[in-house]
Amino acid sequence: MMAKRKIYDRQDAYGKITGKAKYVNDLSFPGMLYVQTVRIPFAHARIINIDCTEALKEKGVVGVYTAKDVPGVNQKPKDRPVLADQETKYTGDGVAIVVADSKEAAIKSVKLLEIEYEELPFVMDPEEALKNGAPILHGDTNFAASHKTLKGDVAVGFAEAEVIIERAYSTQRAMHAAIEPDGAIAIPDKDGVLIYCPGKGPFNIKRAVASYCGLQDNQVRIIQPTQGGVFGGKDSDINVMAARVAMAAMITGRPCKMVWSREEVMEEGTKRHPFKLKYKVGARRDGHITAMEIRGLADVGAYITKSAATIWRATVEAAGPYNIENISTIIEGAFTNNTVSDAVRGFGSPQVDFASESLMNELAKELGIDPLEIRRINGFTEGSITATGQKLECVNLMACLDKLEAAFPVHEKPAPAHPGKVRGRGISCIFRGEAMGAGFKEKDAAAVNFNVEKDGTITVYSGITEQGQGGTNVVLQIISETLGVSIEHLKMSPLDTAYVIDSGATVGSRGTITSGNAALVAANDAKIRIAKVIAEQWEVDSEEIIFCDNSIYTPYKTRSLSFRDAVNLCYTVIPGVYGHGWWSLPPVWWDFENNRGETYASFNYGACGAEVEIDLVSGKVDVINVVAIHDMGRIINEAEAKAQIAGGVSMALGLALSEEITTRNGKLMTTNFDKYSLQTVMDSPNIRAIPLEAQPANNPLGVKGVSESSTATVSPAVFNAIEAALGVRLRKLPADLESVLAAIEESERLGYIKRGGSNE
Amino acid sequence: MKQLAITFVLNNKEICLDVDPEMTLLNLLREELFLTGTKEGCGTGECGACTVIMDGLAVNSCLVLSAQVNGTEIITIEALEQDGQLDRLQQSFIDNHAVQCGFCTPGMLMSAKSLLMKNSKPTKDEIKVALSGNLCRCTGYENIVAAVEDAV
Amino acid sequence: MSSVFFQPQNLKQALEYKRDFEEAALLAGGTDLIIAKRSGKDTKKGDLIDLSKINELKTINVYEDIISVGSMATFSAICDSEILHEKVAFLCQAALSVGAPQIRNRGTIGGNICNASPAADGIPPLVCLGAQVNLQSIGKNGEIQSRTLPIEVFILNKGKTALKNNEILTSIVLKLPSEKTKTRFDKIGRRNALAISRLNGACLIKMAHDRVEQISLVIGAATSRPERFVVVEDYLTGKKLSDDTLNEAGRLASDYVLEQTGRRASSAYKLPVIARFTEALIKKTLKEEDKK
Repeated sequence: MMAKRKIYDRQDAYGKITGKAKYVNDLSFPGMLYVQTVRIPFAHARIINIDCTEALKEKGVVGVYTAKDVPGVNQKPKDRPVLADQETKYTGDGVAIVVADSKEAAIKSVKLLEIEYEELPFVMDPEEALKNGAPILHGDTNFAASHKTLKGDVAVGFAEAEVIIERAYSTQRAMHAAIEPDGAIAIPDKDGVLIYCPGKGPFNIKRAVASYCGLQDNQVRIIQPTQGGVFGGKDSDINVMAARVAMAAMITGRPCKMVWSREEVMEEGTKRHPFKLKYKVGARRDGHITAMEIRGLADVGAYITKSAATIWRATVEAAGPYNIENISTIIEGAFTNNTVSDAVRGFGSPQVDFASESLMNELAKELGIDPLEIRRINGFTEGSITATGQKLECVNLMACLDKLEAAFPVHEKPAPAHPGKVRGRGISCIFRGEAMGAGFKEKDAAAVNFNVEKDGTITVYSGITEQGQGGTNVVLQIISETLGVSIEHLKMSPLDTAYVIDSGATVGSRGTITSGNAALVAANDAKIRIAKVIAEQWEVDSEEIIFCDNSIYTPYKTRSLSFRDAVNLCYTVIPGVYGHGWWSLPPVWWDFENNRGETYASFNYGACGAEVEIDLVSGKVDVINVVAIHDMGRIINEAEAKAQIAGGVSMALGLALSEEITTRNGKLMTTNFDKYSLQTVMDSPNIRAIPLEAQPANNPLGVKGVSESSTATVSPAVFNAIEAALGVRLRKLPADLESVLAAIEESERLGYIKRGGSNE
Repeated sequence: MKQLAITFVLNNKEICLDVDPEMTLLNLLREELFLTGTKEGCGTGECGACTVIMDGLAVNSCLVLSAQVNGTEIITIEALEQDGQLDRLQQSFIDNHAVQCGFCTPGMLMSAKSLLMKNSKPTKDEIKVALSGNLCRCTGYENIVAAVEDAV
Repeated sequence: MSSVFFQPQNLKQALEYKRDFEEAALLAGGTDLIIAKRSGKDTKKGDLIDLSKINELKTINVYEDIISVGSMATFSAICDSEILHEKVAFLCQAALSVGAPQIRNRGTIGGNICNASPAADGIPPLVCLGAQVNLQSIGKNGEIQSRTLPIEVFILNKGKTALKNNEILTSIVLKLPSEKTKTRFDKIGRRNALAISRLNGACLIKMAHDRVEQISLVIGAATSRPERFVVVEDYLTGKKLSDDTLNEAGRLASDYVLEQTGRRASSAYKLPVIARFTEALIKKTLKEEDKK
């Protein structure tokens, strides 16, 4: 039984609105040195010699270090080195670090390094990279990874089809663009190192630094300051950055700090995998899809990082939330001399969902069937079987579509636009596996622990990071509700890997599911422990004891104590009052040989409606309204859930309309936010975020994750809206001025719209 | 560059300093005066995280040189909370769930504050224009606009 | 020898510094200069003359039929100026379209002109109005010398002006447009704030009944510097404005740009859009309220 939940103030809000919260760049330590990265301005280069003589002469410079100074394993095969050793693979690849007593001195000194290098042939296109004769980055081929799914027999399925269409889609290189740039500070210890850094996976960072720096895992300690946005990043970038400051600290014996400028984030920082996708779909005239064949190629960039896992997720979700008997999907990844592609919010889903949901509308148009209807005809229901042979539970796709139909004028044409503009409406829907999934071998678990102090306040430790999504507040909320203690009496400790149990990375929208349920276990653990002591004192059954309103009492309050007094009583009987809990998702499995399996323990569903207005002079697309519906199982904090969804929509609009990392001749052109255009408040549509409680998920809290889903639904809904407005289909992200203008010109040629008029 | 002696009012207190004239106001605040509430997001005036109020106007402190601060009045995020009391805007941000990662928040608050200093009853459109130079990656902006409306 | 930061309190002092330190860079709002220094584009490592304390350069005055805008007037000051709204509304529209409030509060019209970006938003209305720039210097004897140049002559090319090493641009002077003129500025950007113009334009038009008596048209971010599209102006003067004439005007504008720049990577977008934008801009100008 779940009571209606109250809205709680976020504990982290006070620090953030006063400017008192400390992010990594706000921290400073006595004797601290500044570390700057040196890079070669060429896409692929053989390092011949690095001459530090002049650089070392610069006042304030303490040292210049290269790959040979890396204390541990500089590079695992095909993955990112701390510092490039023989060759750089992209313009952002660090080749040396300068350590100085001021940032200015370090920056000056960087320019004084004399690096002799040989320019090597480079390749920027993944298709070119796989051809014979392409410049090779690692080993003897640029093939990086590939995954597939196979269900039924697509030949049979296509034979049954009455209509077959083939389409190609492509997505751009984009990035997290958290407003806080990446940074790390390392403080040397007598036998190890303490690192202050943001990051989505502090335990991963710890292990990475240990490996890079030749330390044991227990010799590296990570403490997380307040984080200024993560979005699936602050990951391998932080690994190499933390290793650079750690090695500098170990060599110099002093605290060392590195914070990237925005230009450095753009140059060296990881990006979203661009995908090229080819879909072939067959269907009967009544709308039932009989077969789908998908081939894709992802641009892995210079190093492997988590490309295999990203490609795996994309592969298992590429066919969309539809009952299709015959599916064949193969997605490959190729190395190129572009910046490293790594995890970004959505992790492959936004790319394939853009394609598959655009395709559904194209198929609907071909068949003369309503886009919502075709999704209803084919959409997953309880017990549906996925592309990988998994039987689905807790399927809420239809609930999302029903809600979409109720909340968004799906079937009506928009009101006429002003002269010179046209409007259109489009929809999309998705399913998305949550948490780590079968691609990861470790147990998908998180832990929460807390100590109850003698004054009745509670100190909490949670392994899930606070990235802004309010994840830590959820943990506090659950403990507060279970123990009946006001949330103001609970305090979340900074995440310190020395004290917090490894709870995996805060990724895949797993934060609330894992740490929320872990908090429930921990809270009940404490509750049972306290109740046992009190019950003995009161000579009652421990199960009768009620925890509420900062008090503990029996029914009818025949006996009662304040929570604080109860805790003090416990302290006389047991050595300390605490709660320990961990929780894991049920195991899933993947058969790498046969490409089948249960991919995720839990799936969430979403639907989106978007209305656009297109300026026929400039090709500018303004999104007027977005309705974003997301299946959440049970909503813990409605206000925060809506805020998460709205934020995801906003980020996704950038992906749909304005964001693109571009290069020319191997050189990065988008060097700062003047060229990499995030959506401003003036671009923001009316966003109606609807977290949906259709049925509880299959875990004690009944929750699902929502952080990433809204990044996947928006692009196809917007592109479907553009198609509705112009009668011309765009298949390449983003819908920038140039591509929309071309579509407008085509639309005028076809007579769908009149030059200077609106459609009708 | 040769140091310059400047005098200015910072959060209602007069300060005399010798500064590197080419140091940005942002770095002056953060590195020399240890006021780290103002943030650097891009360094080029494209994100607004570094917004402070200078002579009543919202400015990107990454694009103001220290020497130019001479004779001016500067207000930073640290001035909003007075004697343990949050500014109405700050409380409204909390009440309206307008804070997620918080990195854009000081800049947003200063842009909003400078608007309310000049116009005590702005329309929603005027609020959006006032915030148009502040990027947020987390919230989608609606709660922030609502928070400012609520504080009017 | 260490470089120096000069902070003159009045114009005479500023001119003296400029005379004595010709290589010194002038610092206005800083929104271009500071970024150039950060990116390494401005390699001049030298003295700076800060104009931000010189109040006499910030004024906006009207005297009879002349408007004088101080070179240090910020875009915000221009937006807030009632007299400019009344007399030359499109200059205010242009100022309002620049970046975002923080940029407008610092960026100056003089800085915008001297930076001479082809995509500058402040320049097209001034070119339309036939504005002149006042350039001043001071001699060894302490006498201030002035010269005035039409803005179209002052701006030479992308990033280049006719400003001499010992000069400061002190004011922009424009003749008030006659009664019944309508003006309009518009811009195309990739987003609705913090956007560099992909194209922009300023139009000033005076109708005599249903014919064009006078038209001044500048399409910016199209050629190497904002300039009057005389071929379009000549075509439209004396004509009735119909869909066909406007269509032709757009085509002429587009052809003119192709002639000036040759075919570029951006031409596939810009040329057709210049045609549409020109039409739309003129139409929108006609819809503006009459100037008082």
